[in-house]
Amino acid sequence: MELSNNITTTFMNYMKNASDWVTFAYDAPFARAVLFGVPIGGHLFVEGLLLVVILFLLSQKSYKPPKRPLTNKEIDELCDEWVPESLIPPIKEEMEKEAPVLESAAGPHTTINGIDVVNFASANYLGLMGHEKLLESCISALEKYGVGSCGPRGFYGTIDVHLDCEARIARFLGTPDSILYSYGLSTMFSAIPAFCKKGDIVIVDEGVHWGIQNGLYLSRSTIVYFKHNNMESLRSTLEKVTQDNKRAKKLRRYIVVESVYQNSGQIAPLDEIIRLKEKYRFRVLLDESNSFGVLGKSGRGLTEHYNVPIDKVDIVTAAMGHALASEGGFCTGSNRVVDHQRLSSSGYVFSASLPPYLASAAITAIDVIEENPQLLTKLRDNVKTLCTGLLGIQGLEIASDILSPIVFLILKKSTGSLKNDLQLLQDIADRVLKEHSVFVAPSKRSTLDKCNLPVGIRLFVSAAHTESDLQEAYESLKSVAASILTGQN
Amino acid sequence: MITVPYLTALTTYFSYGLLFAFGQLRDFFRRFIDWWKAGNLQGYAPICLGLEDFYIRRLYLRIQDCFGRPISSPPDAWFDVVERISYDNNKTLKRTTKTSRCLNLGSYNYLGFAAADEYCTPRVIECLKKYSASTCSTRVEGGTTALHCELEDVVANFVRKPAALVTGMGYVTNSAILPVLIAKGGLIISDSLNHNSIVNGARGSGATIRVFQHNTPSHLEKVLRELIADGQPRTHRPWKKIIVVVEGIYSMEGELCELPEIVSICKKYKAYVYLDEAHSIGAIGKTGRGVCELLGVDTADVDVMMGTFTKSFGSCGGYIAGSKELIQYLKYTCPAHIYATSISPPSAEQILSAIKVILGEDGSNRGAQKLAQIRENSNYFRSELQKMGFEVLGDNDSPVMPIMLYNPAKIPAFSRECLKQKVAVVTVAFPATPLLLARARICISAAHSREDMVKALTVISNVGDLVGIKYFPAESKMPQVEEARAKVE
Repeated sequence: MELSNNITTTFMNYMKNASDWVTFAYDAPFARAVLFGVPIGGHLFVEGLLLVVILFLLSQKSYKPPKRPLTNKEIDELCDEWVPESLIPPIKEEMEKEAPVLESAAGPHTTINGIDVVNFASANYLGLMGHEKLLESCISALEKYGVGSCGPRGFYGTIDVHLDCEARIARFLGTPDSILYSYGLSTMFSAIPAFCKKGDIVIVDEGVHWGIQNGLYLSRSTIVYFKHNNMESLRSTLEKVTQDNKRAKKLRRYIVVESVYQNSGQIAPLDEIIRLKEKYRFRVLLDESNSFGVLGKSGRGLTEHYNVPIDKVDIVTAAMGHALASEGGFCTGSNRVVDHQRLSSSGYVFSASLPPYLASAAITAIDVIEENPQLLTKLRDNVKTLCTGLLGIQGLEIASDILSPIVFLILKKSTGSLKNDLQLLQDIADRVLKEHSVFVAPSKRSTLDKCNLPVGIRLFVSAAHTESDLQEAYESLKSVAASILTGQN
Repeated sequence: MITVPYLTALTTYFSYGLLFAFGQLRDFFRRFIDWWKAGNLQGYAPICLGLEDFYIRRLYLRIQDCFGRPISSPPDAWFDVVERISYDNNKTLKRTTKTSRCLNLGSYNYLGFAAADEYCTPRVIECLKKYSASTCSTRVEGGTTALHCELEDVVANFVRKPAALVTGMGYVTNSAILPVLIAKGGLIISDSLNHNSIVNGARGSGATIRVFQHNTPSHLEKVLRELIADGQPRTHRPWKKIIVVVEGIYSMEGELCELPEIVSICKKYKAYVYLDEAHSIGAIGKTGRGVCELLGVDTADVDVMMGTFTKSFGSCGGYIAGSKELIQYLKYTCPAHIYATSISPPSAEQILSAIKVILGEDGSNRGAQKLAQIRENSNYFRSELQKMGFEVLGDNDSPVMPIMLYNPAKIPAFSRECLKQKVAVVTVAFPATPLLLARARICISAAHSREDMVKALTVISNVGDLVGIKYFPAESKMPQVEEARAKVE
């Protein structure tokens, strides 16, 4: 009792002492100083101390885990551990298939393994391959210039034949100027990045071929696909895109279509496209590889076919490896379009120019087309005959337009997987070749191709095919399809 | 390593600054004038915005007559350059019918196969008559002839690899092969001065791209170690595979690649080597087999070898050589093989005949003569130029020799003066080279005789004195490092 009393008293004494000290500190003389007419209380001392502590803490760096760069030994270990994939995936058996080897020119008739076959696998639409005028001009060009041109266009690779060819093409089509490329595939994938830059909007048909897809990917623009050859889908896409980008005055907008699609044989309705383009203010890029020399009254292509003046289409490209029986490609349009490409198109500036004999072959081919318009009518009749002959074929149907020089047969009922479809079509083509000596081309897809259109068998009709050739073709296809595709109908 | 004297660097910057200022001034006034006359582009964004083609309009067009000179004869040692005149201050150039016979120092004609050759041309004409100018078809359809198969075997043999694949254009070979070999998740390490086709192919593949200092194996090793240890960007997962891309001879520098060191580094770190021999195949090495033969590298160590036929074989096209599995895989997936027209048969025959001549299989020793001639010519020309005091880049044995010009005004001066004295040279400026380092590039050929070279040397010496590009004191073998020189890489 006394102890607890003592303890409490002592405790109280201590507390009293402490509070006395604190009060003393509060009431210390300087605490009662009057500074600038404002009385300062002793609490300022404590606040001042707090401020100092806060400043001290703030000035400390926040805790970061120490950066420890990898030591050389660790890098060595990581490098040893790392195992790369093999350069190519393992070879599967379908990769070992070899293409049939021709032993003569790829004209309407050709020789495979010593047997004469009817050739429907070359895009020799007007039968100009092997024409004597072309051969003559090629031979004189070879004797004069040799084979190669040994330089890019900017460094003495421009031969007068190239300039003549460009002028001839421009005159034939009615445009101010044109530009020659040395390879068909590189035409589109060099022309597109020269015009479409990052941030531009490009509206593309989903069935375009790989060259265009690659060009668009390299251009880094915004790409919007519309349904294959569907004008309603194009209209709604244009509407949507214009709504979304109302304020973009500096944006360039393009529509990219092919005239005759390589992947399906359909023909693009150019008059519709031009109407839409003018309404929504887009520029049109048209790839006329398969329609140059084929469509139109005199072979000038899709614009003549639809009676659209050619200056309404901003940029027209084409590969010359089809109707013109030559190689290379060209691009044509207004002067501004063509001049711009001479310096900023990578496939033109950084690559050697077209061999001169191919350019002179192209000039002669255009001359022949202008003088012989009956080749075009013959081609159209041939296509009609073939299509009527192929009606009722079992398991396959014609997906291409009646005017297209490519007759495209797709499976009525797909097996579900691309691989099996390709295998089936390959079997049909092989049997047709082996048993009936007709050479057709089943479509092939690269792993890089993004196109999703159905695969099929393609027949490239030529004006040089005779009635009997066509008859052999459709009869043999009918019989082989009937035997392989039984039960598929 | 190029060392630019301070005064030259200063004057070059000043010249470009002046040109830029004047260009901006003209643009300013042009905007006023255009404001008066409205164009017919209502609603459409212009094809080229403001500064995108500033360089072309204000700088390049002034000296346009130095580039793209047309010729009217084969690009042999002597050729006819067509004269052009301009009525509107170099904005457009018109052809005239006058030509002048000049010495050709610009075409890529290393072994002299450019013009009609006594062995090759008759065979090419035979082939043209048999197979016609083009097959109009892709390799996997109807475009593979017996000639193509023979060509691939011969090329594989020549390059000392198991198999080869031939495409119709060198540019497309790079652009279409790299995306097949590597995709997103892989890494491409390329030399900083690689050609545009490699850059395009690398971009098109979607893999991550890193650059190492030009021809510096130690920097390559450093970059490889860092990147393997780091892994893919952001996710830090290990890379799927790494491909290192180098060239045999760099066309703007004339240097040989340091292949043995690079190959050993890649072996150590398990990266794949891709060698682009566009300029070196056929031109260097004891039997013309390229940089591997010259530097003693085993071809089995290089995973993918690529090259073109434009330079040394006087034809067109490109090839890829590698193991049998690689080529089989490429034939199955590569778009250049599946979608593009096959190489024109006469060009293929030219390559075959040229290889036969080089290997001596035509029964004469013209091949060995040509190879010895080009080596002698290049070494003689280079040493003479260096004795005269020019700054010449490149290694011994390489047939490409750039002469440094630096100042933008010297480019047209050198080119036009040489043309007046009947020597045709190639001048290269921005953007093919860095801004400060404009140069004139000389390509020596086996067709140049000793008198031709002596004439060329006298003319170049005269013009060099006139224009003031002898940056080194004459008659000194090694350029002395004097004080106050800025090092530019």
